[in-house]
Amino acid sequence: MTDEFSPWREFLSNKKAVVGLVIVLFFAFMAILAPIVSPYNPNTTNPSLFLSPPSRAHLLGTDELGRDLLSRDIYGAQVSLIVGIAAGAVAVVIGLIAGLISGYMGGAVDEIIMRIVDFFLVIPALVFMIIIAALLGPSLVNVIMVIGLLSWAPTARIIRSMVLSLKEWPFVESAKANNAGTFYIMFTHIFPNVTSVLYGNAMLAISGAIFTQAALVFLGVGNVNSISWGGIIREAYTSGALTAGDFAYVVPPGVFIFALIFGFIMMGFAIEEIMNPRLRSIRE
Amino acid sequence: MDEAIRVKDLKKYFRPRGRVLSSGTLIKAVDGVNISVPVGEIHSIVGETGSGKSTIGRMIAGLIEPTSGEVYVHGIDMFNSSKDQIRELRRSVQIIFQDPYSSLNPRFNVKKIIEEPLKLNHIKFSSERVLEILRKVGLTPPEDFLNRYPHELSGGQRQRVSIARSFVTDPTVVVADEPVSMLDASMRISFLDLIAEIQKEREISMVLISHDISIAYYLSSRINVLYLGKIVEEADGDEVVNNPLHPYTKALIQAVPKLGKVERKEVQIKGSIMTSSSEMVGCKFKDRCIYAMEKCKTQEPELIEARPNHFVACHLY
Amino acid sequence: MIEIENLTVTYKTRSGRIRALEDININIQNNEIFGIVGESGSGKTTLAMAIMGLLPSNGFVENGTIKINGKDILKLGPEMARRIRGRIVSLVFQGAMNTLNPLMKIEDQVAEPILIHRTANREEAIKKARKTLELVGLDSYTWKKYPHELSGGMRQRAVIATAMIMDPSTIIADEPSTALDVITQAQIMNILKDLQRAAGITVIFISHDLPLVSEMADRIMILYGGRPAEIGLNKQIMENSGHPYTKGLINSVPSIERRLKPIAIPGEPVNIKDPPPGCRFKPRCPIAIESCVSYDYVPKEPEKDHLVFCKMYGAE
Repeated sequence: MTDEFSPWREFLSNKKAVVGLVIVLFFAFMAILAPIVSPYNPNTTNPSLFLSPPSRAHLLGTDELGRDLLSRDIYGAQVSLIVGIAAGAVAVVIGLIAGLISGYMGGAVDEIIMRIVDFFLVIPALVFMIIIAALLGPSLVNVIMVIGLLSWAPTARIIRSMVLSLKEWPFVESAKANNAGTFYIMFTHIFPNVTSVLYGNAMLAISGAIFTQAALVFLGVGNVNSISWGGIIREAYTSGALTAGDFAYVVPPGVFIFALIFGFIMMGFAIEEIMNPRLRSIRE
Repeated sequence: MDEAIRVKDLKKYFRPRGRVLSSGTLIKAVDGVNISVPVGEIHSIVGETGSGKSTIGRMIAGLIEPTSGEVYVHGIDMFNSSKDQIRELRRSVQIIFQDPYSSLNPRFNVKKIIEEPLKLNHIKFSSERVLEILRKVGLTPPEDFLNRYPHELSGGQRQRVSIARSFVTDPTVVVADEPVSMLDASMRISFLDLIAEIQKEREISMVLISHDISIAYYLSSRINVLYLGKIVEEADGDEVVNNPLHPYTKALIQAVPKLGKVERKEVQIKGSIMTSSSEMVGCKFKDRCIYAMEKCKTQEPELIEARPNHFVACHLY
Repeated sequence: MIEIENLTVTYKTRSGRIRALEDININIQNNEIFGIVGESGSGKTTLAMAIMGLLPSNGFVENGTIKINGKDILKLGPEMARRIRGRIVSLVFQGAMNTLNPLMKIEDQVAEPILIHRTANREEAIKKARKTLELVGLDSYTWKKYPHELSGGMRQRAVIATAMIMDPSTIIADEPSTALDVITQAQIMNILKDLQRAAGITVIFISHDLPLVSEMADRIMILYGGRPAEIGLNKQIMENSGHPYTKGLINSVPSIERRLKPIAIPGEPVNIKDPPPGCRFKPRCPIAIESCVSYDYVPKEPEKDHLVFCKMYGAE
């Protein structure tokens, strides 16, 4: 009698989801097990090995300070994942709250929030992030906050449009007819019904954050002091390795960035696919 | 006062969205409606989509504020009383919704759905109360249903949950908005009988909203025919069905499908329904009426008692 | 002439295979109005889709043939199937009036099938579109309008015109008037009847509303749970029904004509994901006996052209 819909089962039988999940798990393990799997300490310098090419001892060669590139690439996964997930979470949470309030309350509140959203959609986010990050100084937390605070607008938009339609549904009217207050309805009735959109959106926000962090560090702002893929690419550039055509230096971190983003995007697409047809039941 | 519900000159006008009408024109969704429902009776409002019937229902339930006019429930003004009185009133007035799919929160299980009105109205209750109402609406054994979610139930079962929710707070007034129109035909009568049974038992005063006059005839004692926000005819069920006076009511009754083949249906009405705007003068039905006269173009007809206890708003009378 | 033999249509879903239709046999004559009455789970829409070749990707014909004028359309390649769709049999599906292209004027939309099938040039197509629009009662005032500028009833007429434009020999109308008010519904029914008479087409009229179908159809098939309950002439079904479901349906209609008090059919329409064995109606049937669970759907024929799919028929 019951139509067994298990989100996990759906997820795992979706090709995109599995591909994405495998990729992300791969990098997650890379990050968690970095101290174990990386051949060298990524910070150990050895000036005599200045920009040495790939060899048996150093599979990807070394950078301008003689540090093993493979180890640095492995450790880079940590920052990308931490910043990506944290900043993505910040963006989604702010977007969720803004979208909920804006969509449900309507009127002047909606107008104000939507104009703020418009502002954030229109400004060149990267430029702003550079400026603010430069002002705040290099730290992991700063980077997470900056990216999160400047990326919440698309989520707010999506949540708001869902809320706009949800608030007209009879089950909301029923609660209102029983003296339900505004916040009660927003958090008990509306919020649980937007989570389906939230997961897919979160994946996309995370992938955006990963890229943005890499871009910021490449441009010299943000957490330049920790090991990150964007940072490695930056160092490839500043040390002249890039122009000298040292592919082993510059290509792997780039590939990793895009692979990780791809993984999250695949999962995001899969989640949206799963969540949508579910809303339409099979009725003859 | 023996009157459970009194609707007095109720009006609801909307500003149109978009540029179809020039600004300043209003859409007159409900344009001066008077209804009186004695305690324990069921009266119905029959009209098409766009007639304003759902809007009236929601105003009676206190969900929408009228542009002008009053709604009295048990003598208390729904919109001009103290906050406490209104809260108390809200608990006594419940709605049965039309759509079994969108009237239940998909994230709530049946237990939570039924308990919600009790909790929101600060009514102390035992678990037996929930089980009882589930039994009453035919969901037995009730324990089996408590943890189920709407998507695990059929359309009929969902509507039963919806009805249970509407009756669990022991309301004295219920607005039933098309309670069976989204159910399969073979189930409708049993639902109507269920509603009638609970209503009779608890002496609930009800307003039934329907586009289907046969359902209104079956369930209610008195029928109000609504056209573009105005009541054009009002009488006991038998009177309306056997002696329809207003041209619209006549056309409605002719159009209702009856059992048996007909060669061609007589449809004594022109055109299609429009929106009532403040630009309209005279009788709102004139453009579709086959009996329209000069007078109809400029003067809006008033409700008069054309037959004993049978009111109609038409210049023919 | 449409001949359907042993048609079984199945859907593949997460919960397994669902037989929406099982072993359907009907012959629809030329120029008749054939009514199909069924509630949710009856398979009536599946039947329409199967004839049109419009089953969703997870649906397929497990068994049987659908012959249109002698040719089994299930065996045709996609090109021939495309020709059938729209040119010989056309469909007015449920809720169609809400799927008109909001960016196209009415006359352009009605003309579109001609342009798609490439049977005339644009000028002739528009001319024909206008003629067809007049046939359904939409005059020149409406031709250049957009869908949102017309009422629901007018939009539905436009949809019917679109279905008529290729001069099909058959129209399938699936719940053509459900979302419309009762008066507009009567007007639409009149149009369909006029079309059938004037253009000599066959109309397959599908609805859950038995009284509505009874006003329209020459012959009626009652479907329940993907299987037939009764097939017969209008008069036979309405005045001499044999199947308890049909009788139940007739008796459960609240009517404004003074008749006996309506009696409900207990229970709910069958859940076709998990149908009962044997006769699908048995759980709700007032006269069912234990052996109905092994009913094999061999019909009884009380009169010519009247089939009753009930084991207990005549056994009272």
